[in-house]
This record gives sequence, C-alpha cells and structure tokens, in this order.
Amino acid sequence: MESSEPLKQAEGHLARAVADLKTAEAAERTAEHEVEEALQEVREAEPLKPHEIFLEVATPKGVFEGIFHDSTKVSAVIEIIVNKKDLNKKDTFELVHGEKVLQPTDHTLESFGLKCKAKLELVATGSGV
Amino acid sequence: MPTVAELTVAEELAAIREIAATRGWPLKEPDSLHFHLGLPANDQSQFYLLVDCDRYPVQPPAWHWCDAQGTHTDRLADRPQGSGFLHTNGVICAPWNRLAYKSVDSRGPHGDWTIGDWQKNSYTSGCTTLAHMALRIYVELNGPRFNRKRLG
Repeated sequence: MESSEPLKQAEGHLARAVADLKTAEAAERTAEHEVEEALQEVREAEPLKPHEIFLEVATPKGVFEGIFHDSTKVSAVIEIIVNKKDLNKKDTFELVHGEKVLQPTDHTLESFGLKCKAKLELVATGSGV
Repeated sequence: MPTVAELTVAEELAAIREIAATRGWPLKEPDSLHFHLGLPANDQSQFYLLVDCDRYPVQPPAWHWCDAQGTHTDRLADRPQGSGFLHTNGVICAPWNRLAYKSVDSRGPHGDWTIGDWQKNSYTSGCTTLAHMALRIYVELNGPRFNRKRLG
C-alpha cells in the first residue's frame, strides 16, 4: 500500500509526458508543413535557366529536389539521388513520371518530354508477381 | 518500452510523412503500429490503405485496401482492379504484403512463400521499407497495370 502513491505519481508523470510528446509531435508536423510551403514559394519565385528542369522526386528516403540540365541522362539522375539520399546502392531503381517509366536510362530527361518542372518517383524495380 | 516494430515504424514513417506532405496524400496515424494512407490513381480517384505493422519487420506489414475513414477494410468497392501487384484476388501481390501469403489470408495467392523470408524473397526487389512499398503502390495505381476500375 505504501508504494502505491509513488507509483500513481510516476504514472501521472508518465501520462503527462506522453501527452506533451504528442502535442510537440503535432506542432513539429505543422512546422514542417509550413517550412515546406515556404520553400515551395521560394522555388516558384526562382526562375529556371533555359534547358534546366526542376525535379521533385519522391524517394524511399523522402523527397529529393534538384535542378538538372535537360541533356542529363536518367541514369545520372538516379545515381545522384541514390547518393544524396543515401539509398542502398545494391538496389536497382527506376524513375517514374506519371504512367511512364523513364527507360532506357541512357536516354536524356528531355527525350522523355520533361520540361521546366516535373514530379517523379524513384522506386525499387519490380513487375508484380 | 517501445517494441522493435514500433521503433521501426516510427523511423520509416518519417519518409512517408514527408512525401505525403508534398504530394497532398492524406495520412493518419491512429496508433504506433497502424497508419492510413490515401493515394491518388490515374482515374482521378483516390484509394486508401490501412496498414497493420504488427510484428514488422520480422513479418511484412498487412496492406488492407479500405475506405476513406479507415473503418471498413477489404470491400470490393475499395479495391483496384488490375494485374500484377493489383491481384484479382483483391490483395497486393508482393512478398512485402502479409496478405499475399495463403498461410495468413485465404485470398493470398502464394502458398509457396515463407513469410519469415520476405526480405530475402527475390520478388521483394528492394521494397524493404514502408516508403518503398507505398511508392510502389502509388506507381502501380498510376501505371498500365491498373484497369481504372474497382473490383466492385
């Protein structure tokens, strides 16, 4: 019986800490979203040079953003993203734009009709089973 | 004390949160082992998945097609019609989906796979994190293997 009061206090403390953590996590998500919106505004205000393409790529390690010359080969773009996002180099990846898989990868971004800004996905290869 | 599954999910969900925020994909996290994700498809509709990560990564997560609220799972009207990953049985057919195993779910097309070996299965092809899996499903819903129809 004597030990129940300290235990209750500890449980109460733990419950408050968990609640504080959840509140902090929600605030962090809100802040992250605001930062993302602000970055997007900055990016949209930045003019691209001729033949440059702004790529926003969803990857297994989050979002990669970068500006590439339209003559860059898809294989080079994949290599850069894999390095920057520290993805497993043993995995094989493909870049996807809408319904189109950007293959063969020795072709340039321009050859796939990409211009100015594009949203892509970098995914591990696979065809379904 | 958090379990291995909870710690792994917490770490891997960070990438999905970031992608969801930039792409406008709805993401809800009802608890530390489940999340609810909306993915747009090329027929301009939205599909939803309720993901059960219990025992992950020892076992793969269970990717259930569900409704927008996440209250109903595996209804025909919530499942895409297609081929390959989008199996006609109504489950995502990949070693990284627990529901693909006949030993777990009667709709599972594969009685020949061992669930404990899911990461070593050659068909996993690098899809070993939650974000890898979510991106693969998104690509399939926007690719030629999706028939732009639902099973019901």
